[in-house]
Amino acid sequence: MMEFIEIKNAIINLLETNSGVNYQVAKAQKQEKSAEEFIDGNRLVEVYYKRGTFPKDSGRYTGPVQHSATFFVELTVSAPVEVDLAVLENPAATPAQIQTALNGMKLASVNADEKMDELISIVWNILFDAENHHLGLAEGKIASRWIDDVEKGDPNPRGSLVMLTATMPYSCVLSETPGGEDPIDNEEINLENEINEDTNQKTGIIVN
Amino acid sequence: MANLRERANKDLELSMEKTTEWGLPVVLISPDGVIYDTKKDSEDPLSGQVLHSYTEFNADTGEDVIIEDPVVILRRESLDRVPLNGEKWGVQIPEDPSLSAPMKLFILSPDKAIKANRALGIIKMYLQKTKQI
Repeated sequence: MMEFIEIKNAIINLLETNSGVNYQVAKAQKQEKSAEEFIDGNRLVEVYYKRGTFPKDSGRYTGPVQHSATFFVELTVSAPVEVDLAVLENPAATPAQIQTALNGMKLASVNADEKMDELISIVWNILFDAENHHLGLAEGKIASRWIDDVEKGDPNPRGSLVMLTATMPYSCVLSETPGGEDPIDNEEINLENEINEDTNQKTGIIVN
Repeated sequence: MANLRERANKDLELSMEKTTEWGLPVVLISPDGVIYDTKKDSEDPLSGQVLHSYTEFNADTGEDVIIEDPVVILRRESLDRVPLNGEKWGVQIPEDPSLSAPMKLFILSPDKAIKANRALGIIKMYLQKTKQI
């Protein structure tokens, strides 16, 4: 199996361990999402391997190959309108009280935006915490880990709620070792430069 | 004799508002705190067509997905005050499509504009779920 799978699982485990009451973690992209599932502490964090590049000059045709991997950490929140229901559902409430309650409502899109900002902050801090630098793996397993950017989508009315997503690409460099023929051991290569005593002859090089 | 438009409007009163037809009770709460639970110039309870969800086909999975998206359709003639876009209205509708269901409070959605069919004198309002602040 390629190493990036272990890295992806390490990111998932790290986020799951630190989720608390703030969010839930999905181990793959959800094909269909219902806005009802991601309110408040059920905000969704999905982690999946998005793409990888293998610089051609960074390795040999056999043997370990450098893998610049990008994992997408996708965040989803949904929110209703927040309003003083205790007043609005009170048959004894006066018109003035009702008016105040309606004026004081927090729009669903505003609510979703705030919840998303909070989630971005929580997740970013977990992933960038110095103690989590190696994702709990052996030192040297990954290098150059970085979150390149955060991109937030537009609020999207979904039924009676508003849903909002954001993407946080987590990139790092790791090493993949393919199977098959063992690579040639450099230490066993001897280059001898044998110079023919005959000055008219060209220099020969013997490789053992 | 009433013209075709008036007759169509009258037919709507029968089909949309009668609780023996499509009608379900609706309570409107205006931005200035006034509660409208009866029809204009009448003691009859305010009612209209209430749709709680719709079905959407997901081309990726081939499945029908039910989207909870409450919509209220009312006759303008039955309203003392007609909600306008941008106003903050509370709307109470039955929790599910049943006359005996408890009433639940929603808010007029600021994200989806009210659709008004002037020819037939109806308005279509989209609602958003609420939560205690």
